[in-house]
Amino acid sequence: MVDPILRVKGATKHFGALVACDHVDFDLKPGEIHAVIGPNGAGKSTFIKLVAGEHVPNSGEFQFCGENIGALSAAQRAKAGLARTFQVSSVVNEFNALQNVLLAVQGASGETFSFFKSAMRDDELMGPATKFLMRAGLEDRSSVLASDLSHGERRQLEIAMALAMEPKVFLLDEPMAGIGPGGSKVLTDILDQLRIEAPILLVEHDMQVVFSLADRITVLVEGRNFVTGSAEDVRKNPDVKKAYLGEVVPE
Amino acid sequence: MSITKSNAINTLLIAGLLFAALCAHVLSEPFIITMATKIAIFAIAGIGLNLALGYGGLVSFGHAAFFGIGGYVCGILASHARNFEPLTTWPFEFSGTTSMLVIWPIAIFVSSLLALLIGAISLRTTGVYFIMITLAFAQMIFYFAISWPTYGGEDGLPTYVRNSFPGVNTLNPIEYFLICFVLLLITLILCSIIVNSRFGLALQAARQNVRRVTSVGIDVYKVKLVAFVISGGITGLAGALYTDLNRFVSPSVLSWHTSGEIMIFVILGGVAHLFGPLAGAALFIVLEFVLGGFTEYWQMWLGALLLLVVLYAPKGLMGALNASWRSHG
Repeated sequence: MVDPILRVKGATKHFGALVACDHVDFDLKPGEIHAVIGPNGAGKSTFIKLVAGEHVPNSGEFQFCGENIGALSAAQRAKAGLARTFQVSSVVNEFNALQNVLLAVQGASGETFSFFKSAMRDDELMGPATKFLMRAGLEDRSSVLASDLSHGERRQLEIAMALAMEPKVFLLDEPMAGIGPGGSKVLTDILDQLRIEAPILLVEHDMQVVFSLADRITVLVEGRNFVTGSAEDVRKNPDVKKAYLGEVVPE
Repeated sequence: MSITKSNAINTLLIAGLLFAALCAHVLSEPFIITMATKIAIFAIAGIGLNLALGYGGLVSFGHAAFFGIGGYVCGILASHARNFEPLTTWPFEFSGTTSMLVIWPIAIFVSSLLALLIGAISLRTTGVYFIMITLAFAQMIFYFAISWPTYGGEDGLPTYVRNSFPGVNTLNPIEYFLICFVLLLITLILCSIIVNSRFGLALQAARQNVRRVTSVGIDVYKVKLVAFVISGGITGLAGALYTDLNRFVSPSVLSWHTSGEIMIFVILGGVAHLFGPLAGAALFIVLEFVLGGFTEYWQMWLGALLLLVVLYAPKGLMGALNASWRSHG
């Protein structure tokens, strides 16, 4: 049995009276895509924010590469190797595509406090930035402002930035959001390639995408673990279908 | 193409300032030289603020604190040196100085330190709260300067003659102008280097999208704080130069009017444009002179102009110039 690279135990987050995440357990093993799915309001987004360090949990244990990361800030977790993408594309709009990726390379290098050397003429940044932009299929769009990119291209840019972090784990928050049912072929292929780099925690709404990519699936319902299992098991599980259709009968 | 055109506008601006001062010198118009010197000094103050406000999106309404502290550092050091009263006797005796080359680094250091203190607290807030808290800090220092009698209190502190610079007669208007002009050039070059560096990239990204910059592992608070400190230091240097220009420093340099004026230079000229503060300061000083000749109510017309700029040319004078040149050329 391989040790998980990311292990979450009992992650709990309250917003006032609302319990968004209620003792969620999760683990991610090297080489796998582990998807987190669930109906609207199941706490998927809150969960990924807890892992990324954007929300402070009420309780829960977060282990990454055997270390407790509960006390680390979001920036520190990113630098430690947790690279995330956002549900709503969140890029630097007045920068072009290449500059966005450059920023991510720079962040991963940990050398931001350099004041005198031109960043855009720094081969240590430009080399990798160009490479990662190409990996995400955006090599022709490198000098286009991020705000002028199409929706799908912005999703690709998010992935290029995550790649540029050269992370140990990808946290992908609905990478197919707004793409339409089935996702785009380009993006699905890119995501499939990502698992070679690092294991993926995938939060995704699009079931077709989830079942074509994920090795394991955790279903959250009302903030709680509902089922965890292989993609095959989850697909066949009748309770999951009910949960999705909102037909869970209270006992 | 457009890059070389905007370079041409920038060159024109900076050469114009030098040319105006030199012409005034030839025509023996010291008043015009003083105006040009004021433009250079205010431009430096504006470049300082622009780093925080323009590039970093940190709308500081308290830059008078740095400008004023720089001014007072200059005044206090000079007055001690002239009165032969040691400023400190421990751990070593320091009796003040009248050398600009010593005064400038101290002014930059003290105002940066102040920016570190103010920034460390203020940067925990954003938006309107940041504006108000920077204003509050500046007002605290303003009222302190008014009520502290040691250095003149409300009456201000005269320094009588300008401080010295090796090989230069600083009391000669054109020579003092050239000192300020060279410092302006250095500040412009330094700022352009910083803006294009890794740090500058992170700062500009942080202005637009804090969440994104955090998610690539960059500590946004630290980036903004460092920018605020550099910004305060540059504005502090301008304050020291301003004291020497007037041979006098008073609490009015610490008042919120000063913060407002520095902000106007930046907004008039063009936010986040390297040469914006120079264009803004030049326009402001020239308008003050020209409109002031017609009417006592010149500030009303300035207000109207500011309104027009904000409404119709949000990128300021430099943005408008670049755009019109592009569409006509």
